Amino acid sequence: MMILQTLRRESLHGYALAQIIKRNSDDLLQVEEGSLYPALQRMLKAGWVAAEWGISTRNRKVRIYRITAVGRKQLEREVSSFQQMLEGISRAMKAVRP
Amino acid sequence: MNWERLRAEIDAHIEEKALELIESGVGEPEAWERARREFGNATRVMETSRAVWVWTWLEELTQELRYGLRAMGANRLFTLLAVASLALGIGANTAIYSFMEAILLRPLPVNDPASVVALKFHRPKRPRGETRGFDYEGNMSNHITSGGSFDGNYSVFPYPAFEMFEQRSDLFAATFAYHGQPEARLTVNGAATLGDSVYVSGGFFAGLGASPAFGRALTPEDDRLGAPSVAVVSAGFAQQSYGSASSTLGKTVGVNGRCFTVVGVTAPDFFGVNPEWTPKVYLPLHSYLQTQASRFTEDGKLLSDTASYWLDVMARLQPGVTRERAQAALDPAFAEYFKLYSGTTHEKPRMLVMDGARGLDSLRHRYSQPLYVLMAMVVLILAIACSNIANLLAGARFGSAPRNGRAAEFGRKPLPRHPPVAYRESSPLSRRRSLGTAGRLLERTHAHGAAGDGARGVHLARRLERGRTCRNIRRRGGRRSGFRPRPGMAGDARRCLPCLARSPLFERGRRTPMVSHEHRPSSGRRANRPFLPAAGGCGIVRANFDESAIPSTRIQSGKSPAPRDQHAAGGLPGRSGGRVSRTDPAETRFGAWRSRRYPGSGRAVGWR
Repeated sequence: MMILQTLRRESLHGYALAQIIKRNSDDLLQVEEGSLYPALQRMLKAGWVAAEWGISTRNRKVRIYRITAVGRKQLEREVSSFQQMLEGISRAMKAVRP
Repeated sequence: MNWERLRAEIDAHIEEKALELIESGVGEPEAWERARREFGNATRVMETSRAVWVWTWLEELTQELRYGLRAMGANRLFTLLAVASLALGIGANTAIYSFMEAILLRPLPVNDPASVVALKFHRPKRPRGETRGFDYEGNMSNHITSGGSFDGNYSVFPYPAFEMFEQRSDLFAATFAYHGQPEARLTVNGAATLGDSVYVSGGFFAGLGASPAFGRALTPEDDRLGAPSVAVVSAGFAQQSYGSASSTLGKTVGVNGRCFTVVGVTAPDFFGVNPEWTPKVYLPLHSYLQTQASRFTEDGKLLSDTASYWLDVMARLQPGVTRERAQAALDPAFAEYFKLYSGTTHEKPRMLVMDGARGLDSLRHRYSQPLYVLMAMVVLILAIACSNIANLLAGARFGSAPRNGRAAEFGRKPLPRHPPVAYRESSPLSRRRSLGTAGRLLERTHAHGAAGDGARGVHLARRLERGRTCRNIRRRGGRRSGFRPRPGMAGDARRCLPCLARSPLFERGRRTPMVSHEHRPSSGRRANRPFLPAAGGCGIVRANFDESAIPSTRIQSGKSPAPRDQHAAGGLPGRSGGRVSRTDPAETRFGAWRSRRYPGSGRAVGWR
């Protein structure tokens, strides 16, 4: 979900994606950078993202990922279900608060 | 997915990170290390990414299969045994199953077998002496008994009853009858054989819907008095007697001395209506009267007789008619017929319309239970085959363990699987070790028994078991002296166990080797006590022997002594330096044996 959300704004290559996610979460999420790639592969297979070769800002050949229409729909679904879950949890927490 | 591209992507990631770190002022080596560390395990990432695209389970399965095949190839004998026992189990299972399939499951090889029914009737058990009404001049009773079964069901009817069923076209689309004659005398080109033949009514083939492979089937025109004598033969019989099925048409076949012209050959998979026997010749029912010349068949009497039960009747149900409905409709009609012609009034038979799709069930009835038992047994056989293989696997696993275990017990290096020839020849012990566990046990028992000192073997074993292997302790103390080995001493004993085991003394120890009287160490008060030379290297006092004094036949004969013997010989030079004068080993039987067995061991021979 985070990957799709990040890619919705702009197409990125792997390293930039990892950096942005890390920065946006204010380093709260300590995820191994490598684990980004299997996730990207799964999304490629599902057709949520597409990849093409490009040049990075440091002039290096990289693969740039961009979100597809299917990916956008998937993101909407996931965001809504996540918000529902969050809503449910927060209500439950409020209910039992003294 | 190109894995090189993924690799390049990962490399680019790490490089970008490292460059960024270097730009922020981190030292180059540290920057690279941090970049790699924070990325994580690149190989693992590659593998996980790959697993997204490929069927990992299929790959692993292939790997397992290849490993299995390699393991099988590595141990051919084991594979052979396993395959043989599995093949036996599976073969037996298949044979029994095909047998069961033929008898219990296979439907008749005809069109729409589900609508074919067999007509029978049930007759309550009658008291003896009241069956006369069934007889035809007292002789035809065998027909009804032959068609009957133990549960009181009879499958045969008189010809007039068959005609009565034939008229029920509201129930049956076709009704047909047959009378089997096992072991008829069949003559082809002058050569006579015995074979099953069957007399069938004209509607038999049409009713079953079994069309012949060649020629035509028997028709109602063939089945009347005065019709030309024609026959249909089975495909197998045609092949066997005439060479080929197609050339059979127009040939003649003799049945019980009467000639019939072959007009048709059945399809190869047609086996008649009863799996129990496969008729070779099908003849019209009316010709039965001609081939069976007897007073019952004269003038067509048999066909008109109302009380001769001899015909098996089958029918094909009209569409929409169930067996139950046919049975309910026929029941009163047959009861009336029976009452009219049997001469009995107090008995009411019950009509039965049985499923004929799987052929007549006499065979099935007779064999189904034993067959199920057989099937269960065969499943057991398969289970036994599997457990056999499990046993073999266990055996293969434990096969080599005792040898090395035993070697370790004696503090030796594990022996090679195939000891050198000289090694094997020189020492029975090493030969014993090259046998299996059971063989070793057997041989050990045998060797000791043959030498007449089995008791010593037991003694040795017991001592080994108790861990008090060092006889020196007992020598020094002995039971009479009240000496008990202290814990430290027992430790000593255990420590010198390898030396003892290596020493020939330990192997053959009852006849304690003794040094001669004058060279015994002066122990003072126990002048007569025999002195035991101990094994080398364990700090126990031992005697020194003159190696050159021993006539060594083995070495002179050019054969190499056993390594352990060499070791023992090398370990024996003692420290006390005293020279032992000794009897020539060849003089005593034991000495001769020992010098043959342990050349150069430097052992003294006991006193006599």
